[in-house]
Amino acid sequence: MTLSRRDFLKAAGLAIGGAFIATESAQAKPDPNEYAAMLYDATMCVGCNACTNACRQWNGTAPETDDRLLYDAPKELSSDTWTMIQLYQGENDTSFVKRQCMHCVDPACVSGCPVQALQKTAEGPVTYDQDRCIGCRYCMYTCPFHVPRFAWDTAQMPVIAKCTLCADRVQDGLPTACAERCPTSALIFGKRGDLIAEAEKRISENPARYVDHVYGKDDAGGTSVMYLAGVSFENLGLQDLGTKPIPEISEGTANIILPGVLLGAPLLLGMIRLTAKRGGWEDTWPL
Amino acid sequence: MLESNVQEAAISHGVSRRDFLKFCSMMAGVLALPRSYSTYIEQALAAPKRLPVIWLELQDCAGCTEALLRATQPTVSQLVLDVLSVDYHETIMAASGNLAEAAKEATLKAGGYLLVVEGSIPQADNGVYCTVGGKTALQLLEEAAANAVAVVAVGNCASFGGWPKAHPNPTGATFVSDLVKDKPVMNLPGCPYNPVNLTAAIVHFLTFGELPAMDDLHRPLFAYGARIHDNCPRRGHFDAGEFVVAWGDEGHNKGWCLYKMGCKGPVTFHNCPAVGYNDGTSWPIKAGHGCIACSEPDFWELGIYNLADLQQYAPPATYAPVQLPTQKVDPATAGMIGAVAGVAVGAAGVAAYKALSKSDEEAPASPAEKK
Amino acid sequence: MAAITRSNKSNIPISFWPLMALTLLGVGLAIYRLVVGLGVSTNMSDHYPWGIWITIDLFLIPVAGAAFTISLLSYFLGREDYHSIIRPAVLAGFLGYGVVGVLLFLDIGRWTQFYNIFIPGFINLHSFLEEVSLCVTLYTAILILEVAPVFLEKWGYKAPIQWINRSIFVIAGAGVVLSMLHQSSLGSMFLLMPHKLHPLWWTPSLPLLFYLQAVYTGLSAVAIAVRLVWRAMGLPIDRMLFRRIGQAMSINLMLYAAIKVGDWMGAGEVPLLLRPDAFGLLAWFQFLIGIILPLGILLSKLVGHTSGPFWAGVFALIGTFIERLVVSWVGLAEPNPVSYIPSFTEIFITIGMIAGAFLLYGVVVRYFKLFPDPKQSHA
Repeated sequence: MTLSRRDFLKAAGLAIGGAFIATESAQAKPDPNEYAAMLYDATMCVGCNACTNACRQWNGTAPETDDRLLYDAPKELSSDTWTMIQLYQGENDTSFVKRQCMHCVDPACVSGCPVQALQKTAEGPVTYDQDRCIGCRYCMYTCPFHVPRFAWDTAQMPVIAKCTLCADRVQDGLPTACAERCPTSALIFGKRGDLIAEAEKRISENPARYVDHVYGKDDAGGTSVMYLAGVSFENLGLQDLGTKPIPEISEGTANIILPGVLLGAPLLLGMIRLTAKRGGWEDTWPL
Repeated sequence: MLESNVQEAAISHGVSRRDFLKFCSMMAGVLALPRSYSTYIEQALAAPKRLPVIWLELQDCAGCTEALLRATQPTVSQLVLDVLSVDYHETIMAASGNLAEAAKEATLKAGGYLLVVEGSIPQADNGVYCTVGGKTALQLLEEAAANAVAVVAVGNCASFGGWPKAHPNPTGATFVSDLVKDKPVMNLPGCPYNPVNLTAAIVHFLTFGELPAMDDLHRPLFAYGARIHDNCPRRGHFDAGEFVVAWGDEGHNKGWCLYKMGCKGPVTFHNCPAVGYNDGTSWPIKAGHGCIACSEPDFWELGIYNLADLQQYAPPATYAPVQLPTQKVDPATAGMIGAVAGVAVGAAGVAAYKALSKSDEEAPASPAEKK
Repeated sequence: MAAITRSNKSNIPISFWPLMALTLLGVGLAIYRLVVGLGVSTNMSDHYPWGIWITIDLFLIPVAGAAFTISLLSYFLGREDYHSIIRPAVLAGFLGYGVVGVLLFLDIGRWTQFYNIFIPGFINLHSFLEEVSLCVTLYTAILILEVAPVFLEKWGYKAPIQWINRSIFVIAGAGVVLSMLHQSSLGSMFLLMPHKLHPLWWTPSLPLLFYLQAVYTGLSAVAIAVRLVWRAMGLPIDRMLFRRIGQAMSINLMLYAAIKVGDWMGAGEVPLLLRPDAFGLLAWFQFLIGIILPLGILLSKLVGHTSGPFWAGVFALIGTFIERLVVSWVGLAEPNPVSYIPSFTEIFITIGMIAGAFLLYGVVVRYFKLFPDPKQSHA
């Protein structure tokens, strides 16, 4: 019965693999309140774009001229613009909003990247490793904030580009370049827990000024870049994403399907094989 | 001794006609008038006219007078003032004591003079904190304003009360427009004010017979109509986010924006970036220190090194708007899909209908047909 | 399939030349894309990071999944009646996955590092895209083994054929397991975008839906392809086989429909169906044309009609295409959407690769034994 033994060995091998997968995800995670984070108070922002320029200077990205032919006035993020300010003008209210990677506590892009080119570091920033990246652009698909951008015009070895939360500066104990440069201190850098406390303090001391919500405290499982605003967050392009981390459903499904199929299917097939009626057609083999 | 008009005076003092015309153009520029108006200015300054001026120094430091004495093109400005016949000015007049007071009395009685006031007016304790010749500053102002054609308050003290008015204001200092209500008052605040602005205002008065257009704080718009921030040569650095963060740092050496060092440019109305002080030699920001808002009322309360309030902004129409994620099929894609789907389904539908409504084919065991 | 002709004629069929031209054009454009990069050769952008290549891949993978369904039915369930179509199905599967592989390789931006997806330290087991990549690679290897006998017997290598035949259950079994994994993972990939994908298409049951769709899509492909091939070659039609295929299709279609409708009702999305916007219309279109119409054919007596499963398959494939189109392109929420129309390069690389697959299929049919001799087929 060589075949059925082989069947069994194959099934066993796959089962071990399945168990491996299931345990892999049960690792200790750092405390989110210790992450490097930023708080952006839209009511204090004057749209001067000092942050945009600080980011350009630190990261060496090139100024952009888009189809509007305005010098260095990009309309949206791109592979050369990792942060920028956008303007919301409603009928009765106005606000600026800073766009950049939110450095989520449980990022969708990290969960989806096939080669772990995007990683959530222990200090907080979500970093990108171009030596691993294959340019599949799945991260662009999964990010609920539409952040990662691709260097389409680079012919060979294009990269994915996004804010790095100045991981290199944070490592040396410095704040992010944008937060350091902000003239009105609308953007401040610190530990996530401290910034949440500061944000809640601002809301309680000045309830008429703010919408009563710290965006990013729990949204999509929490982000390291958090927002306070005086207008509704929907108008600023920050949607209601619920409080569940985005990867929860996907990883939960993986934890069920992968071991389930890898264990169950071979067993099922083995059982079918052993019990199914054999016709005479096997005698016509080879086909 | 006094020449009959400015032009003759100028020429007799060795100023060429060409330089005189240049002065008239410059005045037109300071007054923010079209260049063609320099002709009117030239005519005004050539016409015989003598406007008497009484210059009162009340609770002051004489800084504004000192500024006046450092005026641009001193020769021509002094001539303007000579033509104006400054009948009373405690710091610079030759006379003193009773003679000086008598000169003032004569002008006051004759009327038709321009009253220039320097320094604040103390009101506490019946005004005893500033007295000249036995009269309080309050009395002096009252009697001088009575017959004046117009009142010009030079310096922040006369315009808005100045440093003496700072808390706790022990002398009860107040300012000219708080007290003089029945005469046209023009404020030329600054600490000191910029004498070019006084020269220009007087030239305006001589040319048009009235004080220039003013804002709601009685400041002439040609000098106080725009913020320092709006005309600052370092504005580019502000817009690019290049700020000095410590005295003597790399940014300071490169002339970067001083906003973070407390510059009050964004909340101060004055024309310092355009005209400069001391013959256009320099002005605070050019020298590397932020503006302290010395032409604004109660500027000491802002705190020299506190950040100015940047609330007033109007982003340009080209500012990048918020992009909201939308879920919609754009028309081009919709058209394409619709067309392709329509054709595919239509063709398939027709063919399927035909094939399925036909009776079925022969039995499977029949031999294959040769085509 | 006009590329197929009788094997006793030796002249080159008329369809060879356009297919060859298209294939060469596709290969040339592929080299062009590799040299100039994605920005120049495609119309993909930051708002549409995936284009028709991914859509076509998502469509071809279930179509090529005919191979695993037939394997399951033939080898494990011992269904003799499917015996005659194992080879054509497996070859179609192999060529289909070949096209998918080429399009995927061309799509990734940093293709010189593509092998990173196989490096153990890099592999992200949480990522369904990684899982799809690994499974598709392994499954292609399985398909090579399954289709190898076709070539080996012509070339006279007996020993490898015997080895393959002895191990066929393990090989085919691995193929079924891998297929279940990656067909469902294609759907699971979209679990990470609950807020971006339109609610009428996003559901936690995406893996199951995609798997069921893959089963009936594969069967549809079999019904269509085999019907056309046998017609062209003048072989007798095995009506019982077609009936069985049709029945299997209808079971999966009904399961698929039940889960989809159940999800719409359970998530309160029925009002979205009643809105007269493009998405409501697309959902209705997909459901009516892709599910109801095929079921209408297959649950009636037309299932026994030799063209019944064929046309049901055609409409089911249209439905599958709509589904895969919406999840990969049309159904996604983007800020300030810019419209995406595929570029010439994208379209003709796709057409070229598919033409190449047809060409190779025709060559194999011509020179190798893909179909059993008529007298060996069972009623």
